[in-house]
Formats: sequence, structure tokens, C-alpha cells
Amino acid sequence: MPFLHLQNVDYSYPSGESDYITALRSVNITVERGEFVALVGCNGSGKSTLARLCNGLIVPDGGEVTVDGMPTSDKSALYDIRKKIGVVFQNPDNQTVTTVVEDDVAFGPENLGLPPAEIRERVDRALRAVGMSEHAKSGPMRLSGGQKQRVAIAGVLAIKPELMVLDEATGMLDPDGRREVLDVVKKLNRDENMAVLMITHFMEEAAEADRIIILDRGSVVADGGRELFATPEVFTDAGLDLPVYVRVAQKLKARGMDIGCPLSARQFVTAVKARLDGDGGNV
Amino acid sequence: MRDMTIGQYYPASSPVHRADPRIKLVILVLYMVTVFFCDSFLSFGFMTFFVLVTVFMSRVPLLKVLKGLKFVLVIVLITTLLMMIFYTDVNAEPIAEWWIFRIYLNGVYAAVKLAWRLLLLILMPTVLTLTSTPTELCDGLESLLSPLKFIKFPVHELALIMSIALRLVPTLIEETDKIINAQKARGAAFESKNPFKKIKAMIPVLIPLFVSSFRRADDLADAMDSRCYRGAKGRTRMNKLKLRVGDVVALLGWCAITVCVLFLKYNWFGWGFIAAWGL
Amino acid sequence: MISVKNLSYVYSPKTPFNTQALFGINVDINDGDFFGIIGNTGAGKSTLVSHFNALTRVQKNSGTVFVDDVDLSAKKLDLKKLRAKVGMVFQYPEYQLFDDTVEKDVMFGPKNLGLPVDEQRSRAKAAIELVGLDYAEIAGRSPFELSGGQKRRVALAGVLAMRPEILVLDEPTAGIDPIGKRKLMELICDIKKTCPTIIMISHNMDEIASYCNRIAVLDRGTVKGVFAPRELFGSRELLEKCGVELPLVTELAVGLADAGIDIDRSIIDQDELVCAILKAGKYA
Repeated sequence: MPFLHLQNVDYSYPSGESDYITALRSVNITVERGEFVALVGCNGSGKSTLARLCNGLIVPDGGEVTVDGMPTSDKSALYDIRKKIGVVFQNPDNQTVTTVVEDDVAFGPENLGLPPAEIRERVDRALRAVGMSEHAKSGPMRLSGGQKQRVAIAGVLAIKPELMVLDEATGMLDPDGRREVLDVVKKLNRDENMAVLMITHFMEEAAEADRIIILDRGSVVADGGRELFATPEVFTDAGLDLPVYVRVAQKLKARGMDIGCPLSARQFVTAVKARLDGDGGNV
Repeated sequence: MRDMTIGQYYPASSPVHRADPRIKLVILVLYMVTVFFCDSFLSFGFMTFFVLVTVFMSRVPLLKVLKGLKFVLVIVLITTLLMMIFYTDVNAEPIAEWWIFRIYLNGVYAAVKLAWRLLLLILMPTVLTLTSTPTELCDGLESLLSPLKFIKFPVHELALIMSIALRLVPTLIEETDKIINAQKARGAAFESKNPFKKIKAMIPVLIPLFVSSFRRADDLADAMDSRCYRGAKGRTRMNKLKLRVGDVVALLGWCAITVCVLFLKYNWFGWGFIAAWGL
Repeated sequence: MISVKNLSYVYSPKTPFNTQALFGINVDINDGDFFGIIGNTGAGKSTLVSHFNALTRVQKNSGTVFVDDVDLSAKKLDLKKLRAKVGMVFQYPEYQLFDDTVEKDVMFGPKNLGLPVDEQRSRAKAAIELVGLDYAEIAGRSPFELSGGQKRRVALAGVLAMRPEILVLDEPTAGIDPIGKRKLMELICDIKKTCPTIIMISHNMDEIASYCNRIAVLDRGTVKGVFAPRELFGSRELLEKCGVELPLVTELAVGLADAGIDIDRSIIDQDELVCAILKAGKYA
């Protein structure tokens, strides 16, 4: 059984007095332990609704969401579900509960009712994991956006979940902040085997994941590895961009120089170089 | 407003910082009551001495503490002036006279005492907030009020609300600044002297501010739910408040100071020097 | 034209908290420029541009800012006239919407200028259409029930309705998905036809490289220089000195050049890169 399992999930929310807007339509998604999955879609594709479904902040109208076998519709299981799935939200300013970084990271484990010594240990560990130990005593207001999001990640880590959902957690950050957060997330996935579901519209971020799920107007239109970039239509049809190296490779192909589908900037350079060295004169 | 000292923790490592927030709160209450018993320059000087000792021990620069008084200084000055001007002493000659105002020596004394008392009353809470994080204060208050739980008083919720409010105030101030600037850029004028116009001019600021506050509240509720929050039930704290010997000593010390002030006021044994110095 | 001479700025002066945000800035922005301002968070970009419409006033003995022939360091300023002339769109401008209909919200600027109601309305209509929204469909709706992208356009219209000659944009595409970003940038190019001078702060080097004709690099309150895009992104020395990262396309070009392929390192356009690769193939 998959760790996180969305089966035929429908969700709609009210708009105006009697209207409903369908946010998700029979969505099927699975995430296994240790996986790094990117969920991409343009604004209004239903990505954020999906994040809130994962840990039972909202419950599907139809279908079922289960976490480690527990359905989110079971209110008594919510607490256990949230111990297993942590969520980092978009706005770095709206997630801190207290005025001191380490107290904020402690908020989660405190809710778990752990003994003080263990909370302290988890907080220190979590802050170390995101590289924010030296800011443990400072106020969140003095941190940069990237640092605030790393604190939010630490706050989730301290609960020791098995899956971390990042709901456009880099959306409001500058490029430096985005890189900081992405590096931390990659490290957690690699070193601590933390499963990651990263919701984003930055294709360069999505390209880092093992698997990419594309959401378009409430439905999953593609679900696969980086080889998805070889069929660029699935991205462009969903209103998404492609990483720049894929776009250039496509244009080269259209002009008669096929270098295949590079999955990173480095691969792009190697492929072009190989092609030019191999049959340079015959292009 | 940004310079408001209340809620501006000054990080340092000092015995005052480390003291148990519950004890600090109890001492604060005791101190405030004691200040009201002060009525002579001797007792004011006595109290000031111990306040300064506390400031010195806290390693917070005196300038920083005094900055917190900046805003109330105006009020203190005005009250002092009014007191001086309107004080009438039928038994004495005025020491100065101008137009309809007469200033008496006792009036000056009373005014200075009033100012001194006000400053003492503000100083200590300032020191408290400079040396304790809002979270510590909330924890302290929660712990002190915890007996009220038995009459179903929502102590934990109250403490949490205070903590979140303290956390959000700077964010909201920043946000207000941003919105005001955005509306100014669209030609809005907030400088009108007419109070009605002024209120009307604030609507383009208040509505976006409300909208964003609600959004923040929603986001925060989601973030708290996601981090396993379910009220006070089964919740523990990382920093368990622990009374140490030093805390008890500090409390006893301040009790002694209170006794001394009472002594200076009532002079139970009729000691001469108190009578002589006790203006 | 905006002319900044030797401008400095200190936050909370004469207090223990004073921090200097700008150190003797010199910049000239010409009429017709698409002027980019880049630099890290805290480099002073926002402080600098907030001088242009006198939201931040020039401090005493801290240099001068001229907008055409108006001296902004003068004591008395016609703020309304200035703010109509220099439109400013802040980051996430949708958070400034407040009125119950889109039309009324967009009319707020013209109303503050003291224009007659007819004129306010016709300007609002023109501005709403200029940002690519359907006036008939959207004018009567509440701005709060629009989608994120629509809200941002309405907020932009609210500034454009003042008919500025200079438009300052602070991270106009922040938080929008890639296709939406491109559409918004195309829209800004359209706007440039009626509002000839555009000043844009951005962290997105691709946008900066493809749209701006001149780029000022700020670093900790000083101007490291004003460059043409190719001049900046083509020179490794300059980039290192200024701590600027490359547009993604340029990064590929540099990668190829490093691998020994004969390619110009200052390429900032995809099609150009494609041509250059094909050309390198021919002569290899």
C-alpha cells in the first residue's frame, strides 16, 4: 500500500452564493516512502488544494485520501496523520507562532506531548539539519525569506514526519532563498530518506525530482520521471514552461540538430559537445 | 511605533534574563504596589537605587532602557507642569508668581514626586520586557494563572492568543506601512487636518489590512493544525519553568525592599533620621 | 528623465538603530528607457526607487533627485502632480485593492487627482482595457473575488489610470507561474507604448536580460555600475565583481564555451543560442 494515496479525489469549493468551482476531479496520486516527487501546475490548477487534502486540513468530496492506510476523513486519525505528514506553506510570514526561532520549532513536538529533554534534542537537531542553529535565539522578523522558510522546515522536521509536503514554499523567495530551501530539501531527501512532495511552478526545481506529476485544471495529466521532458507538449498544454535547456534542445531539433532530451544543463552541454565533435561538419 | 520598547527583547546573558519569568512577574506586581507606598524623596531614592541595580545586573545598556521612556516622557512632563501650576498651598508663600499662576515649594516637591513615581512605574515593566521574551512572559503568566483552570478559565488559550498577537504586531505594522505607501503612490493624502476626512482617508488602508489579517489568520491556523496542535490537551513545553535558588533570593530581596519602604513611610520606631529626611 | 546625484539615505537617523541604506548613488534614467535595477535583498533597490515619487524624501545634505526639472530635495513639492507623473507599482500590488468594485478601485487614483467623475471613469475604463481585462465583464465585480493574476492586473490598472509618464515596477512578476510571467512582461511592453519610461526591479535575470536596455547593479547601497545587458552578462569580470547571476540561457552559452565550443558568452536569447550552436557546428 502506498504511503500517501489519493484515490479518485474530487474537491470543489463554493464561490459566490450558490456556485461551486471544481478544484480537483478524480485525482489519483501515490507517494512512496523516501520518494522525491514534484507536483507542477500553473496558477489555478488545484495544486494548493491538493496540499491541504494530504494532511486532512480539508476532506475530499468524493474519493479517499489515505496516509499509511489511515483515511483523512476519520477525524480521530488526523493527529496521527499529521505526525506522519508535515506541510510547509507558501508565505514565510504566516507560519511562525512565536517570537523566537527555537520556540517556534518546538511548537510541533510540544503538541506531541514529548518530555522537555527530547523536545530540546529534536529542536537542536532540526535547526542543525536546516543550517539555522546560530539563529536559534533570534526573532523570525529579522530573518530573510529563505531563512524563515528553513525555520518552517525545521518546525516540520521536529515532528519527525515521513513525508514533507512543500506547498509552493519557494514561491515568495528571491533566487538565493529558493536555492537555500531547495538545497535543504534535497539534503533531507538524500540523507534522512525523507519523502518529499514538492508543489511548484518552477520547472528548474521540478527537474530535481525523481518523479513529476502534472496537474492541469484539476486533473492529473502526466505522472512520470524526468523523461517527461522528452514530450514537451504535456507541459505546454498544461500552461507550463520547460527548463531552458529543454527548450533550446527542442529548437535545435526543429532546425535539424537532434541532441535528444537533456535532463540538466550539464547534460545539455555534453550532448551538444558530443554532437559537434562527432559529426560537426554534417549538421 | 516601530521603536516601541514593549515587546522588544534585548538578548543578553545576565541573571535578570535567566530569572524565572513567574518570579519576575510577581516581583513586578510587588514593585508596583511598593512604588505607591513611596512618599518621600528618601524612599524614591531608595527604590531608584534598586531599579538601577537591576538594570546594571541585566546588562542592558541604560540608554536602551531610557529609550523606552521616550514616549511617556511627554505625558510625564505635562502632568508635572500641571501639578506645579495648579498646586495651591494655603499655609505658604508662593516662591514664584506669574500672571494668575502661583508656584509653591510644596507644589514643586509634589510635582517632582509625581514625575518620579510615574517614571519608576514605567521603568520596571520596561526592564521586564527587555529581559524576557514575550513567550517567557506568556509562559509565566500561564503558569501563574493556572489555578484558574479549575474554574474552567481558558488559561492556555489566553496565553497562546497573547503570544500570537505579540508575534504578529510587527508584521502588521510593516504591512500597514506598505499599504499606506501603495495608496500614497495612487495620490491618497493622509495629511488632512479634518478628523472625519482623516478617518475616511484611512479606509483604503484599513480594508486591505483587514483582508490580509484574515488571510494571515487562516494561514496560521492551517500551519498550527498541520503541526499537530489540538489545544492544551497533552501538550508539554520545551522550557519547563524551574524555580532556582537565585529566583527565591531575588523575591526575598524585593520583599525586604518593600518592608524597608513601608518602614520609611510609617516610621514605626519613630527614628529621627527618617523624620528629618522624609520630605 | 530622472537624475540622481550623490544620494544617500539613513534609516532612523540619530538613533542607536540608524542604518545607512544608500551611499552616494549616481544614476541617470533617460526618457524611453526600460531600466532594470538588480541586486541582492537589502541592496537598497526599494529605498532608491521610493525616492522617485517622494514616498521617501531626500534627507538633508544627502544629494539630489531630479524628475525632469523638479527638484525632489526641495521642501515644498506638488506631491499629487509628482505621483501622477511617476507611477509606482509595489511588490504584490494586489494587496492594495480595497473598493467594492474593480472600476471604483481603479478610479481611486484619478479621484485623488481631483479629476471630474466622467474623466475618472473614462480613465479607469482605458486602464482596465490596457491591462488586458474585459471592462464590461469585470468593472462591476468585487476585486476580492478575482483570480490572483486578475487582481494583479487590476492593481496595475489602478496606477496606470493616473496616466504616469514614468512607471516603476517592483518585482512585477513575483509569485506568478511561468506562462503568466511571460504574458505580464508582454503586457508591460505594451504599456511602454503609452508610458515611455519603465523602471523595473527584478531578481529574475531572464526578464532583466530580455527586456531592459540598461541595467543598474546595486550592492549594499552603492551602484556598481549601469550597463547594457550584453555588456553585463557577457563579462565574467563584471559579473563576479557585482555578484550577479546569469540568465539561464547565458549560463548554457557559458557552459558550452567552457567546453571548448566557439560560442559567444554574452548570448541572452534562446534563438540566438540556437543559431550560434548551429553555426559552431558548420565550422567545427
